[in-house]
Amino acid sequence: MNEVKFNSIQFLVFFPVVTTLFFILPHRWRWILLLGASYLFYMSWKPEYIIVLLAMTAIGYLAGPRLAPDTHPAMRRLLLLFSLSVILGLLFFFKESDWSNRVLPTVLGQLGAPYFLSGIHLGLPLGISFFTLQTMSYIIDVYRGVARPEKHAGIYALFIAFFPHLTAGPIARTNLLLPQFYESHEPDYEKIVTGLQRMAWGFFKKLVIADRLALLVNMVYAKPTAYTGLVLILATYAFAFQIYCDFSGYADIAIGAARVMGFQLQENFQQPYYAQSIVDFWRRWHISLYTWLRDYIFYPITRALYRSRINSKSSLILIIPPMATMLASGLWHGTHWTFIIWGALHGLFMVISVAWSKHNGGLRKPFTLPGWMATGLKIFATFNLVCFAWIFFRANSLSDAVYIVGHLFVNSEIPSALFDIVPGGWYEWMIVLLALLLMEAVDWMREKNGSLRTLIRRQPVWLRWSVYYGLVMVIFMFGKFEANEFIYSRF
Amino acid sequence: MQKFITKALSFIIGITILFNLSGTLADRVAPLDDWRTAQQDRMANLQAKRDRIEAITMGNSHSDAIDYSVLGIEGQSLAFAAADLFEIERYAASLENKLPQLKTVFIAISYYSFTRDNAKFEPFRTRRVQFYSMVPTWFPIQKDLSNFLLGKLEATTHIMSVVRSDSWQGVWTELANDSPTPDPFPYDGVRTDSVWGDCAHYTEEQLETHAKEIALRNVSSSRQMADAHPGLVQDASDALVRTIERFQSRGIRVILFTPTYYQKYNVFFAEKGSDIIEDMQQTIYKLQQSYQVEYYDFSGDSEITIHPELFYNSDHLGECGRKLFTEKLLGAMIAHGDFEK
Repeated sequence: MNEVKFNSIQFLVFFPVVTTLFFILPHRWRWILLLGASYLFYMSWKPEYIIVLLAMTAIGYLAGPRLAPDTHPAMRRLLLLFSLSVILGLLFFFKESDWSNRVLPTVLGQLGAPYFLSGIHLGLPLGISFFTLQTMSYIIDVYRGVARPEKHAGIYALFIAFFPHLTAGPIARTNLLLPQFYESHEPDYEKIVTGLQRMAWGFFKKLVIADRLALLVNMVYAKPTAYTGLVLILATYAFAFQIYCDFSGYADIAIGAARVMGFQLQENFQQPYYAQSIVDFWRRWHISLYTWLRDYIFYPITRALYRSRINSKSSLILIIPPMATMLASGLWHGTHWTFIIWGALHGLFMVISVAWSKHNGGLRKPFTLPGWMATGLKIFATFNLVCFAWIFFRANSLSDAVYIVGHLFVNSEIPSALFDIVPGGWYEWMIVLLALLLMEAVDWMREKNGSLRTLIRRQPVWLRWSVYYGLVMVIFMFGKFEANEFIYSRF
Repeated sequence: MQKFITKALSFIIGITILFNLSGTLADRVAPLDDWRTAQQDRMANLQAKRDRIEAITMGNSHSDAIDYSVLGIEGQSLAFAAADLFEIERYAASLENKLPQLKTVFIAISYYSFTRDNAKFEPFRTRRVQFYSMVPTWFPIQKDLSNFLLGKLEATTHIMSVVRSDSWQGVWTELANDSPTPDPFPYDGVRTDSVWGDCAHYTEEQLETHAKEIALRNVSSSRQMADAHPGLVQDASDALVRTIERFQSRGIRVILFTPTYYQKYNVFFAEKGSDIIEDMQQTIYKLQQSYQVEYYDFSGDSEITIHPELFYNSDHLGECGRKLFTEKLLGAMIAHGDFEK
């Protein structure tokens, strides 16, 4: 079977067919269609990994009713711990497939037990990190009594596997998405049009910007020791925009595709590079993960600390919750040191940021900057801190990351052949710069509570359609159509 | 909903027109491939002469080695640049019952024919898409739905001319240029008046440089395709068997041949890809045993391989070389048996 990725030609057939059938079918049959389509979407990658998705679905579905508040409290706690352990164990088992492939047969062999997966080389199931968090969120919400256990196995399976968000989020929360599968969604002109616009914008970000920037980033980060100074800085800035356009592009396509069918998914990005502090950055970046971590790690740890004997003014309360949350975020991406340091850096920046804002009021300011300049400086500083942390996130190894950090400002003269570093030279640079300017202009409008969509809607029909045609032409003329993976589908 | 459908259809029609206009403009101003025009001409020729054609040549550009004026029969080359055996199978299927007089099919076998799957190698994938757009086939090659869909989309929308590998740089450059457009595919060889006639060819030095580069490129791309497609040799061989069976079942004679390459090309290819050549020879041997298929190997023919005048470039015979090669092939076929000129 051919893999159905958002940026594949198969999706251009798959999506209209599924959407058309969705609207044709009576409401009571729609969940079957969406579930079948979602499983087909997933199996088009590697059919055998559907077992993992089904296992995760079964755990959540079976645990749900037994976790409801009317069950015996000790049993509930035990079941909660057991189901979360199994889910996290599965996640670890597949995330650390190298370890699993190497160590597990030996351990089982020594115990005299047969290795049930002999001959099968384990890989990372697509989107496992996302549907794991979603299952955990459901289980914890049911345990806390915040959500009701879902009785309909099909609807629950669809909640986990709904194809727009299956491989790279946004991580759906139980109370937001589950009830929507019971609602009857009729074709809505407004939703269809805005959904398609959102998808087109996502394709623009992915195909025109992210995949073009990937040329430079991949080349430099594959062998960073061949470069110094400005090239390393440029590649790091390029990665910052690559990952933003890649991931938010995916989110735009996912949210747009769901909206066409009448569903609402959680927003995942809100102009993150306009953040004025690291805390602010995390309110705008991968929002569905951050809110998950906040609700299930940050708040519980903070509450636990307040309940413990620690003095409420103790700096531990300031340090432990953000550090633990951000380390968990790093670990969620992978157990490599690069991800852990990336998470730790964000935790550290957060602690400093919160401490600074707490104590800043007491400091005497030697001078006051005009508001726009202060805002600009904060944005600039935050962006650069985020970029610094991206070095660890993107580097192939810790030694590569250390080399890059150590050589960012070594030999910072502009290489004469800078334009020729990527195939296509200055022309490719020009396209990417213009595309970035366009994207930034749109982000800026949103930041100022404006909306390009509203602005376009006010224009006469010929101008509106020219913009739509223009966007489609730009995507096809300047997009990179090599069906490159979305970065976050690896997690 | 009706409002949406009306607007969506209008939008699709508009974008199709826009794609066709801009794609045609791009192809005229700065064409990316020369072989597409040649291919379109061949297909038009095939259509015009379909009731008279007795022989066809199939395969990649190496199959252009046959000169039908020497064979003295009504024939048509359907060589498709860089075609692999999967594409040849599809092409053959699309010709079913369309050529009533067809008696002989020549299929060129290159060293790398059994280690080639264009869908698995990005720089050649566009060839596969173009193949689908030009050939009237309505079934994709196995596991190749995406390229098939793109190809069929291209046939109606010209989408591949809009999605250019140079991101339109060539078009803007040409449009901004006041001077007349130079030939995008200049042939920098020489012409020599030789015993074989007036022959266009590369010089010895050019041939050696070309041989080194193209042999390396062919070996390297074959290896990448084989890595990306486990069991490629077997699958390609199966595709060829199906093609042979398809023709033989209709009483059509299938002749496999390897044209002559310039000596340096043979040397460089053997240096880097002797295993690829061995795979090819073993596969052909098995086919000969199982299907009694005729195969003529002229790859190192001593009367051709050493003469630069006979080669357009190191792995393609020139006009003079094609004539001589076809004469030798004809001689071999007559010696083998029942070929009537």
